[in-house]
Amino acid sequence: MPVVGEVVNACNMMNLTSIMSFNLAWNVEIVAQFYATLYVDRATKTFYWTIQGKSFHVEYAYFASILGFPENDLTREKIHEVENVLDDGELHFMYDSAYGDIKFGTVHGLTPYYKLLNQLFHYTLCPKRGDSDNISNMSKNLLARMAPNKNEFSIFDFIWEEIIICSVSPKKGCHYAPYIFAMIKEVTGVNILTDKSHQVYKPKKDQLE
Amino acid sequence: MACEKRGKQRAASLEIESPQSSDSKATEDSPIAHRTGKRKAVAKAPFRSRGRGRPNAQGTSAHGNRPRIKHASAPGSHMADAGESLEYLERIILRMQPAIRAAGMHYNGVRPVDYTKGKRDIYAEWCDNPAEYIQEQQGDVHFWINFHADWYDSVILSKSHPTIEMKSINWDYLLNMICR
Repeated sequence: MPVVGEVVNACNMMNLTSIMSFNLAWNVEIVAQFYATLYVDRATKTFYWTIQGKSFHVEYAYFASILGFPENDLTREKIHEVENVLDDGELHFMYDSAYGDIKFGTVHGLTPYYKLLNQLFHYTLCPKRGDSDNISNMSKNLLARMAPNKNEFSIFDFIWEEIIICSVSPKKGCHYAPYIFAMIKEVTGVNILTDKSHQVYKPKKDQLE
Repeated sequence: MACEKRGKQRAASLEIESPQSSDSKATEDSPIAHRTGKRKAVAKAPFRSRGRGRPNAQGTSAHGNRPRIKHASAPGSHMADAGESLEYLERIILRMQPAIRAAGMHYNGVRPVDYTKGKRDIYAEWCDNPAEYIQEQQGDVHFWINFHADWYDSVILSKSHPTIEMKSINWDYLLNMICR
């Protein structure tokens, strides 16, 4: 399966391997309180929230360092700043009729490289509930950025902006729980007990073919 | 006077009845107790009210001497003395529960808002730094203002899985799949 090697190499090139292998159990209630009380100061790039009625805040750069992002990640191109959500038709280069009937904006007809990437992003950088056949919103942009010879982009900024979008979208759930919980533990200095484990994605061989 | 009489009558009847109910030995020895009419009268009491074993001589009612049940504490009360510290979160696993609203639903005309319905400009309702706000929520440990409590109740708590499932990638596992 050469495609697995290709995907691993591409993730390495784009500096995604570290954050995608990040593993931390979390507490659902703590993450829920974070999303319910989150306020973002755009000018100072700061998150404000409360846990059990106590107020906390974290700056952009500090949050990034907690998740292990190097400083140069923050200076890279920011997808949410320079791009709108891509139209389905703009994803044409990811499809091939050899892999089934093509439906742009879905997983039908995706080449194995993008299909595997989409599977991996589905559980990590673009978590999603509901119809897993659709490629939604900024997942399209993220996949398109994984094309060969594309410039590196700021992964932390992608996560930061997606957290903000989730916090004001009633239909979306609480995304990035492990990352948020890691940050809250660091900021509060409390080793908060968890009730949800962070599982490891272990696809079977036939799922990757 | 009528009241006094009634009271006295009640007192008198108590004096007569109490030895019978409080001391089972006395009722056994009494010849009256062997009469079938009395037995039928006793049997009318529901089984659950009779209790078991030898009744306590000091007991005056069916519920008088039962051990007190320790009632569970109210939600959130275990954190009432937590103060500014969150260290108790190292010992207690927080679970999701609806926001506690001490004020009635109609108090001040403020009703809980369902943010899943209708179109709302969330950014307009989004509050500034919560630490700078005066506490609107009374009786709730974790929310200060109504917007947060309403958002938590209507948007987050209404979902079966509030946090989206995430998995981490084991790159070694993936690479080993190539070799297999």
